[in-house]
This record gives sequence, structure tokens and C-alpha cells, in this order.
Amino acid sequence: MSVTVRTQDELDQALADHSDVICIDSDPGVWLSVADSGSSHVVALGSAHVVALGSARVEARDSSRVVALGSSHVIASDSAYVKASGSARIEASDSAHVIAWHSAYVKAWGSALVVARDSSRVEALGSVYVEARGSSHIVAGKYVAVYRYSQHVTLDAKGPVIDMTAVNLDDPATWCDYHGVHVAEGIAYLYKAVNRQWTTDRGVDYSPGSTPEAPDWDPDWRGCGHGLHLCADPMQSLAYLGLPADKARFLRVGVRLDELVPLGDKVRARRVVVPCVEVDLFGEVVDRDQAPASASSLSGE
Amino acid sequence: MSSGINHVRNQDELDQALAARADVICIDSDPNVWLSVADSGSSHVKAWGSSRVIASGSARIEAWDSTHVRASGSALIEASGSARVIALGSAYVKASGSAHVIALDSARIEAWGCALIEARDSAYVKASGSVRIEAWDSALIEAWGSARVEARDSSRVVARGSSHVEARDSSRVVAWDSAHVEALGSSHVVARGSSHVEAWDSSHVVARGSSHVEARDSSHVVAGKYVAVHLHSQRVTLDAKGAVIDMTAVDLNNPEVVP
Repeated sequence: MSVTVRTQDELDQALADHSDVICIDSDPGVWLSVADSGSSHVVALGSAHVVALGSARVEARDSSRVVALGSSHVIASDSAYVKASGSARIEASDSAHVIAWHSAYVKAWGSALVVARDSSRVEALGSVYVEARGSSHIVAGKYVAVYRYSQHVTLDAKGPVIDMTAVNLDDPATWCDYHGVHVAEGIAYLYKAVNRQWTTDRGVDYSPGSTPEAPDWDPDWRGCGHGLHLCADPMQSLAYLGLPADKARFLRVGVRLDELVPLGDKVRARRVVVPCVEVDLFGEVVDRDQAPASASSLSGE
Repeated sequence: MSSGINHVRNQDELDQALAARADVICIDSDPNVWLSVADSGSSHVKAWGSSRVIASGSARIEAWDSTHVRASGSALIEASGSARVIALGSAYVKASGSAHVIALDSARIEAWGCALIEARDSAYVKASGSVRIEAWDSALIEAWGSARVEARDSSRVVARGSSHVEARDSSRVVAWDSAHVEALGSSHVVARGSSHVEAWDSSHVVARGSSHVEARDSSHVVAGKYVAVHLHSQRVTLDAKGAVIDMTAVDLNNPEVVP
């Protein structure tokens, strides 16, 4: 007997009735819990949100989201999204996305994505992508791409390993390379989001054609302030401006690579040496009369 | 002179309550009667039940239950429950619950919860939670949380968090964090952070940071040094500086192939 439930009461009743198959198709954002699935086959469909506890066993399909705790067991397919912790066990296929914490175990194949944290264990086959973090244990097949973010990871990989632990993002040239910043003749081309008056709360004028300079430049300062703050992408700079995209303007600026200090997802620069050019939020020049002859779209190029 | 809560059911009662500057005005009219508010002044106007309201000028309305609101001018609508709003002009809508908003012209929408937004023209939507967005024309979408976007025409999407975007036609997407993008048609995607892109048809992808790409069909992919690309088609145009895993050479009918 198969039954479709949309609320916690309906789910509890179906479990109490030992229904053979229970399909959860609740509204997105409404979390239902399963502590013990008993003899029932519980399936999360659509955009259902489910918490699997204790020894629950849940199959996650479509774009459902499951939080797996305790010793629960989740079988995730399609584009299901699973967060697993405790000693949960996850089987992920298709384009399922799994984030594993604590001692969770993940077996993944297809084109699944797995982020392994803490001491979680992952066995990945097919064309899976694995982000290996913390003290996770990874066994990866020949066609699996592994991104290694921690030297505490135990790794047995037959395919390519992208060692992110060796990437020094405090080095300006490496930072630019990682973020795809266009660099030519020692000049890095970066982006700034400003308000309709071509400035920010800091008061620096970034009008098109201008070459602003930081009034408080300090190359040794490691925190915010003390320089012009710029990003590799107009939209990233927008996040710092704090205005919605339709209330902002964007500029591409050229700064000296040897006057850059990386600060995570942005940099500090002493001054602009190639004048500000207005671009759109994808980095394409808005007013081409003001663009350098060689410049067009550089965002991401 | 203000006076408590006023319950109104027709236009005359509404106009009188607004003129009296009632603190709170609750509209609970029949579904076949449209009431108009051009300026809610200092009154807090709420629409309940199956009320129908036309909000214009600088009107400010809270829409609950299964109300329908047509907003234009610079009206501000806060929609929740299963309210349905059509936003025109420069109207601004805050949508939550299971509200359904159709955003046209230059309307601006901020949505969370399980709202459904249809954005057209030059509408702007900032969405989080489990919001679903269908974007057409030149609509601009910022998707956060686990929002899901279907982008068509020349719409533009910024995808963050664990949002999911299906990009078609000539839509453009910038993806960050762990966002997931399915690029179809001739869509363009810039992938950053740890985002993931499935490139289909003749889509164009520029992948930076530690993003990952599944390159299929006749897609065009430019990938940085720390990007892994699974190459699934020999028709892909690929410029990759990092790891390329060539799946086109894998014969899965050969039992000796052990992935």
C-alpha cells in the first residue's frame, strides 16, 4: 500500500499504520521528521524537507532535502541535497549533493557531489566530485575529481587530485590566478560596486575616468580599511556595497599587482592606475567610448 | 485624528477609514469587488480573506490569506499566506509564505519562505529560503539559500548559497558558493567558488576558483587552473588549465573498465 503525506501528522499516521510505501511531498520549507521508518519504505519527493533520525531509512529523490542524523540511512538520487552527521550512511547517485560531517559514511557514484568534513568517510566512483576537508577519509576511483583542502585528509585516489592546500591565496599573483583576474604588464583588472553617485560609504570617488588613490594606504595592515577594496567580479563587490544590484553601478579598474594585498575574497589596493570604466554586473563595458582599446569583457576571462 | 482598528468591506468604508486616519484598516471584502488604495497615509492597511485590492501611488498594504493585489506606482506590498500579487511600475513587494508574485516593469521583489515569483521585463528579485523563481525578458535575480531559478530569454541570475539555476536561451548566470547551474541553450555562466555547472547544448561556461564543470554536447568551456572538468562529449570546445577527466574515451560496455 502506498500513501502520500504532506504534514507531520499524516506522516506519523502512515508510519503507525505500517504503510508499505510512504511518499513525502510536503511544501518546501516545511520540515518533517522520521525517527524510525520501521518496515515502511519512506520516499522524499519534489521539494520535500525531511529530517531522518535514529535508525530511519529514507530515499531522497527529485530536489528534496534531507538532514540525516544518528544512524539513519539515506539513498539520494536526482538532485537531492543531504546533510549527514553522526554515523549516518548515505548512498548518493545522479546529481545528488551530500555534505558529510562527524563519522558519516558516503558511497557516491554517477555525477554526485560530496563535501567531506570532520572524520567522515567517502567512497566515490563514477564521475563524482569530492571536496576533502577536515580529517576525512576518501577512496576515489579513476574518474573522480578530488579537491583536497586539508593535509589531515586520508586519501586513496586513482584519479586527479587538485591540491588546494598548496595554493597560497595571500600571494597577489596566485590570488589573481585563482579568481581568473586578467593581469597584463603588471596591472590587475578588478571591479568595484558603487552607489549612483560613484562612491561608497568610505567616500572615495570612482567616477568613470578617475584614478582614485586610498587616503589611508598601509601595505602592512592585514584587516579591512587602509586601501581601496576591490573584487575579481562585479557581483562580489556588490555584496560589500550592501545595495541591491539595481541600485548599484559597477566599475572596472586597473591596479598594480605589486600594490595589492589579498583579503580573502577581495583585495586592498593603494591606487587605481588605469582609469575607472563603467561596466555592467557581468563586467561588460557600458560606455564603450571610455573603454581602453584592448578592453571588452574581462570578468572571468 | 486616528482611531483604533477599522474593518471595511467596500470602497466607501475604506475611503472613510483612510480619511479618519485609522491606525489599522482591515479589508475583508468580497472576491468580486476590487477596492483601491492610492495613499495609505499613516494607516496600517491589511487585506484578509479573499479581498481584492488595487494599490497605487504610495500605498502600503499587508496582504494575507488568499487576497489578490494589483500594485503599481511606488506601492509597497507585504504578501504572505497564499496571497497573489501583480506588481507593476516601481512597486516593491516583500513576499513570504506561499505568496505568488508576478513582477512586471521595474518592480522589485524580496522573497523568502516558499514564495513563487514570476519575473518579467526589468523586474528585480532577491530570493532566499525555498523560493522558486521563473525569470523572463531582462529580469535580474539574486538567488540565495536553496532558491530555485528557471532563467529564460535574456534574464540575469546571481546564484549564491546552495541555490539551483536552470539557465536557457541567452540568459546569463554568475554562480558562487555551492550553487548548481544547468546551462542549456546558448546561456552564459561564470562559475566561481565551489559552484558546479552542467554545460549542455551550446552553452558557454567560464569556470574559476575551485568550481567544477560537466562539459556536454557542443558547450564551450574555459576553465582555470583549479577547476576540474569532466569531458562527456567530443564536440565540446574546451580551454582548460586544470584537470580534465576525459569520459569520452571510457567504454562502459567493457567489463574491464573499473571506475
